[in-house]
Amino acid sequence: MFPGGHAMNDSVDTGSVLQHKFKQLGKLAMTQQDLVNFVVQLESI
Amino acid sequence: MDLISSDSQNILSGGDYSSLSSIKIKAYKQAYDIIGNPANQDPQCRQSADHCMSYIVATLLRKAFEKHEILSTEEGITREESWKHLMLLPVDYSEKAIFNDVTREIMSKIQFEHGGEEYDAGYPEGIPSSVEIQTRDN
Repeated sequence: MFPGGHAMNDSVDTGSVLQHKFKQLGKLAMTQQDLVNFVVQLESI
Repeated sequence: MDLISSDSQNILSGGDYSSLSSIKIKAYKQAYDIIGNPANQDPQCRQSADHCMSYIVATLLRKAFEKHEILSTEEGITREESWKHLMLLPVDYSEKAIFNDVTREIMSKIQFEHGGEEYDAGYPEGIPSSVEIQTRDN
């Protein structure tokens, strides 16, 4: 009942889609290296 | 997104968006009331565009037509890849995007309806919605 892209959906690899989204949005504001470090930091919380 | 992933060759028709005849969207009441509001079907800014179902779906379809060579492969494309190519980003709410002629033409073919009791009954356990795309070649 939840489409792909929704947090409750379990038929699409949401983690992979979100990784892509973070990169697309992050590169608007950060350098590549800062972005990598930032995402790693967030994922380690 | 599932529809494009599963039937991209028919829907995207070699990038010819004029092959779209009509697009019918149905959703449960809460969604319809917020993003189907008839007073907001001609968005003029980002704030109204991101609450307009016809704009969101039309923009996603425009991007799909623009990327038809990537999306319409013989072997199909995974839903994850479709998402990565088609998810709406800030640039998709720019003034240029909001007034894109192709997007506006696709929007004119979209009907958004409340799906009725059947759809309402499935919420909030799910977010029942459907998209039916009619192409020139059926």
